[in-house]
Amino acid sequence: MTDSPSPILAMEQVRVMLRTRNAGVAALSDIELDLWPGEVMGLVGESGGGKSMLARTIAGMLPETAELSGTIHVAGRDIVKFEEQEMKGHRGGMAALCLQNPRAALSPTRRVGKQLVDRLMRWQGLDEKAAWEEAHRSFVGVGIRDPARRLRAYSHELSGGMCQRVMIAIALACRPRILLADEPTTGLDSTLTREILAQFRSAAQGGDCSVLVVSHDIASIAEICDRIAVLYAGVLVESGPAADIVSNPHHPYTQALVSAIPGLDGELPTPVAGSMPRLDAAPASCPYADRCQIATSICRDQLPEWRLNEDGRGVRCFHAGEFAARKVPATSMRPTAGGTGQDPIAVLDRVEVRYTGQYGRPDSLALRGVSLKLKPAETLGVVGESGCGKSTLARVIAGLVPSTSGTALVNGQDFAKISFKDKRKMRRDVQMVFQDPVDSLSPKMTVAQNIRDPLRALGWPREGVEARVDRFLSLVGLETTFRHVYPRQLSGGQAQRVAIARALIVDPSLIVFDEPTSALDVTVQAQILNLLRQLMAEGNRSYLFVSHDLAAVRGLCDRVAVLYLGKIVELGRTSNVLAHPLHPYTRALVEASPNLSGQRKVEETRLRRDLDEAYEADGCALETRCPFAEADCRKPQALAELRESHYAACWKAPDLLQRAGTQS
Amino acid sequence: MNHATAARSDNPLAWHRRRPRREIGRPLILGGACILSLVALGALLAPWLSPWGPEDIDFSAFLAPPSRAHPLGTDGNGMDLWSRVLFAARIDIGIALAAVAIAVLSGSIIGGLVGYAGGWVDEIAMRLTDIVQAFPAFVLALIVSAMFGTGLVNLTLAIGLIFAPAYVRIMRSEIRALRVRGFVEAAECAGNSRLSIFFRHLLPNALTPVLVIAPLNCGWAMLTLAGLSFLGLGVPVPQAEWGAMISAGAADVIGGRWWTSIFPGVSLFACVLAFNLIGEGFLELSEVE
Repeated sequence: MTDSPSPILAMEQVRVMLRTRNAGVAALSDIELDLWPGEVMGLVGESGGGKSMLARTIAGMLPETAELSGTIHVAGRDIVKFEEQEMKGHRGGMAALCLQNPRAALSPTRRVGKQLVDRLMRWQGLDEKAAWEEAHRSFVGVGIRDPARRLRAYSHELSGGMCQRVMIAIALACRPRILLADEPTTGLDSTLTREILAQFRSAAQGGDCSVLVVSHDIASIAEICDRIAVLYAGVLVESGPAADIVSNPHHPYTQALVSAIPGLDGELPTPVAGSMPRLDAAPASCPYADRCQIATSICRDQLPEWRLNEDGRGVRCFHAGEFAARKVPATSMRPTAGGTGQDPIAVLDRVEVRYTGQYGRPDSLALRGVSLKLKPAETLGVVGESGCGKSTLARVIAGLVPSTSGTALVNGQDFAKISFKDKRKMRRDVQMVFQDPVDSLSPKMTVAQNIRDPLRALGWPREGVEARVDRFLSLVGLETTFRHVYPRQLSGGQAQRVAIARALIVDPSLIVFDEPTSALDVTVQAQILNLLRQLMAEGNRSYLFVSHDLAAVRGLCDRVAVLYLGKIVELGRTSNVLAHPLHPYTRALVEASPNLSGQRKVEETRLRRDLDEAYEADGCALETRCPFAEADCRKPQALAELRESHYAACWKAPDLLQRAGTQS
Repeated sequence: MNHATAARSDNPLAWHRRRPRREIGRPLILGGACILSLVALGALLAPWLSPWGPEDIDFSAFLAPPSRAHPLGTDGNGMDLWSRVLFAARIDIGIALAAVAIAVLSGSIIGGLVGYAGGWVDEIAMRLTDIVQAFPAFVLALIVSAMFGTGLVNLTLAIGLIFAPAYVRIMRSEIRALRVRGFVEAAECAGNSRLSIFFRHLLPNALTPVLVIAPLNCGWAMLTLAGLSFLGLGVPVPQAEWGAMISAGAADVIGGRWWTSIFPGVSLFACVLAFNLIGEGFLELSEVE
């Protein structure tokens, strides 16, 4: 925070009501918030909490049905009283917004460079030549390598991370005083998230621009933010310096958010029951009282005052900080590895998957020779960045994608070599849970119909089906009243529970999870992870757990395979691999994964490029991105057992290991 | 409510100010259904509502203006217009519904299956629909009646054939968009056969646009039928049909006997309007959803 006499943004008593046909929704209630020049503020909370609405309010981009009251001073002027003409100058010039889905926000028919140049010419008054030069500089500034080529690209030619960088460059081209970012890293994996968030930090560096980052993931933004504000049901419940908020939350909701994040030490999160209420009017009592463990009668009668302390921390709670900082002991690790010595349930031998390129694009190799064994009752984690072939691997094992070469045996049978009819018989053994839970349920079928669909499809006898559906509904923690509900009426967490029940109902010997929590809110993630842990503890079923969330993998999996560009680069027991990674890629992943220890980590292994910029190499696929690469890395690398049952495909691993040893 | 509207238009932070859409879907459908059921009731009760048969000739009254004996007058053959208008509704609505039903059923199943199959099956089917759609509707009907002869069944089939390609295309694109969705993969994973994936999981989710367009098509089908009859390609004389009646009365209208064409024309107009109202209503509802 810089010492400046006045904040760039001061919000007082801000309320936003959304009018719908039948009722209103109190999107924001009595928000008191300020933002200082050069400051990076994080805005966190679960979805539906009003985070995006707050960003849109500041940007002057409220939906048409919104009613606004209160005062919002931006650089000393109250934008609530602005006329339409003044508002146009405010949008962009004062406050620029980076949207959640950058590819959708960029015009698909115009080159991204041209879109940036238009902004530069309009807002900075540059002539065209100067604007192109400036565009080149600003692309470099937001970390785009090879800017000359990227300036000529269309948005569909760029990866998600690259589009987000372009979006930041375009937002900054307006020279805004406030840069607003609405969930800028949702859907990006942890290495890319860190890269993008660093761009916001550097945007605020000069002190002219303040940044407000909206995110549901308190862990990932905590490192780059000066301050964090927490929203719950449209009410600001806590704000303060980022490190303090994370290490010592005062509001029980913040505490819940923080403890919902799984730690890298293998400790699974503590879930909070319930979900956020939808308020139809500004709340008269504490909106969190129903989920709060320390709530008393006063919490249900009155809305606590917003109290701003001298140390810069504000909180809206009668019992602020009265809870003991609960720390759950790390006993949640799965105690046993899968039974050894038995026949493996799935065997992959040099599996390759080639997707045929369409419309003249070249073929792409999603898997390049993956060999692994999955033992009975074992949980195997698969980690890696998005686009590394994790989902393809999951689908090969689930029999949804045929391998192009190599063999993939599940229970001794090769999915690629049997007819569609015989494949159906194998579904009894292998089921899958997908990333997008709502999308994975058949929309015109009720919950009960969805759950019993595998039974019907596999010709299960009809007797007892309904009772079985009820039993599995309650097993995944849903009440039987959900039977007649349609998927679109479910929240993400509920839908994923239904999908899990559907996978369990035929009692398969293997369930494949493809990023089952990445589309969910943090506290819901915690609930689902706990459900999975209960299932896995039961015993004799095997699981393949694909995720880019290392902490979740740490808490659930016996072994973990690290996948990079379709190859396994490291494989071993989870505790070994994540605590003492051998391969530089694993090290980069571990270092990039967010932690809440409060201290900014020493970044030792930082990959030099984004994944989509890595070109194919004969030798080690990571060579183009690896900070330790040498000439010898161009030779092919094979998995080698470097420690007991801990394999890595890097010839420098022993050397790196020694170096890390001497440093610490 | 007025207050809220005023507050909204004052709000400078609202970034686009399209007036909120009023919900008109249900009233539209209701209005259309009212008109249609009135006409249908008339058609069903025709023998009781009119003392004359549709093809009975009153030799004492050729081209008689509306009177007590003939509420809507008579045509040039001395047939009672009130009775003919009522009986014609049976033919017109019946053929329109049957033709559209044929088009919807055949078109959506073929379109859905080729969309699901993809590849060369899809290519061939699309080129075939191109060929059918390249012909003007009347020419197509002409070909069918020339090849198979006229008659109510052939007429229905011909109109069905005219409308089927549109459903093939709609269903094909719907299914192609749906089949990459997660629930289809999940259905395969659950052990469904291909047919079961298609009929249980894909088809129910692809039907919405078809249901919106089908009522609109009923209106067009009536117009097509009337048009064909007007040209003499439709219902054989002297059977009562609105298009044929308009055609037969056209010469008399010029001679000042307005009633011969006006009443069948108004009936046709009312039915087409009713079908369009229902179609628009469904469209509104599907958008609100």
